[in-house]
Amino acid sequence: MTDNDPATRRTGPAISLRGVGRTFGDRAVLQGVDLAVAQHEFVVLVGASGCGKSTLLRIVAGLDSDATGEVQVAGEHAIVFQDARLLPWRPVWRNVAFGLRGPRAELRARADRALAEVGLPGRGDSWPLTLSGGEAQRVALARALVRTPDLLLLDEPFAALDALTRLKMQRQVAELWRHHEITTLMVTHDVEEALLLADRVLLVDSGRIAEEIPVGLPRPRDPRDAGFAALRHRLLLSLGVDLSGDRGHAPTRAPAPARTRARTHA
Amino acid sequence: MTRVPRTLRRALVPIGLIALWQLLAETGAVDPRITSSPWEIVTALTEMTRSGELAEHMRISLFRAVAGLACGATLATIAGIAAGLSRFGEDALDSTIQAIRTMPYLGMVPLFILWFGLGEAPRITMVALGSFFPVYLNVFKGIRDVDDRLIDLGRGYRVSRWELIRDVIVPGAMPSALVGLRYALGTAWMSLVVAEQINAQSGLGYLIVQANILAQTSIIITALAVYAVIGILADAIVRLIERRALRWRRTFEGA
Repeated sequence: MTDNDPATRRTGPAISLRGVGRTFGDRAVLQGVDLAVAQHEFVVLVGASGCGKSTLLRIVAGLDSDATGEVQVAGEHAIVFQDARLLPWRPVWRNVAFGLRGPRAELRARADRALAEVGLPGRGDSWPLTLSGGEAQRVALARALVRTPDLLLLDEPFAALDALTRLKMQRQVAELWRHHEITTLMVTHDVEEALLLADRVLLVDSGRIAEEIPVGLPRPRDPRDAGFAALRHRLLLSLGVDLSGDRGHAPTRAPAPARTRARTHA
Repeated sequence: MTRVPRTLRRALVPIGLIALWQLLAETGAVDPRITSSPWEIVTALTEMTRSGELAEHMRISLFRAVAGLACGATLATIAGIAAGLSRFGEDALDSTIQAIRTMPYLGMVPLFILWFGLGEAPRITMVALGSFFPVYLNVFKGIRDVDDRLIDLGRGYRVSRWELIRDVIVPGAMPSALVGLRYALGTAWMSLVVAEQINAQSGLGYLIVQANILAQTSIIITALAVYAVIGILADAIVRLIERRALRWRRTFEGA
């Protein structure tokens, strides 16, 4: 499933899916999905709960052995889950170096560098259970980055964080992506987050990629920007949320009103 | 009252009870033929200590307990890991072990003597059997209770099976396994008392049986007290191991 040929790694697409399907029992969660992600591209999958977007990410990560179709992933990948999934019995730096082999001192140095990069310098010796949610998720991000993957997979990585931490983390991921030029595939249900980060947003609906929206906005992006608002409006409309004539003041119609408010303050 | 140190406050009730006991014995309210007074027990204890009798019986009892526990806990850990890690292991071992567990093994001493002879083997086997089940059950449960998402993480980061066992499954099962070990200490010790009362020539249990024949209640109570003290010490050792092995959790509890 993983193509490690160095030539493909440099030139070919980072991810290539053809006719990918997955059924749970007799329910088809994904069917006939084609997807190509170019090197260094940031692609975001959005969709309602249960649309199959997370399943798609897990298939790319090689975590779903029952999928059908053709899956090609070039190079090494690393995944960040919605929950940090740190081993509570290993200190932070050990978690960052999870699964890496080499001399202890070298692993420690690499882990410390990765921790510094995600804004947690000097926290290598902490126990995971003493970290806040945002810190734990940053450790998870460091764990992914420390192995300098060719492909970064993010499965709703900020969904469980509070609004302010989420904003900081989104910025940080944008920074890291620009700095490392690392191909990224992310799943989220947060439209604004998708538009902040993506080169291309793919809308997943009923197990298919229903719509493709290129985001041509210059970076860093500002949600107050007119072009941003227009894209958000379009994306929300595709997701079945109509905000025309009313810019999200009616809480019943906005997908996450509290979150929207926090964002405008930040 | 609040000025009194805590250790002293906690010792107040036991000390009071012992004093009451002594008083009742002095006044003749309890029959000295049935229950010795605390003073007689202390006398018996010093006597047995001085003659070296107590140390000798304690030594042999400790040896049996440690040997039996080591065999039982080791085998139980291996069996628990095998059954916990794979469905095949579970199918092969678990139902058999559960079936044997329902048998009252304390009643099997005569059989063990028939099978293993009159040496140390039947008694050590008893202790091993007594400590096997708590360790097995808790190792098995500990492994099966490891968070599924951490196994998923291991697969996501493509670690080897060995690394998954070493870094995720074994540490994850450790809290439960240590609880099993603490239980095992109790059952091992209990099995030993029973085993030493049947056809033994030495050990604390033998001491109790001998004293019973001679109606020396002070020696019976002394032997029981020694059992209790050793049991407390053993538990303290496991708790110490627990504190070190689970310090990731300690830090959290202290927060």
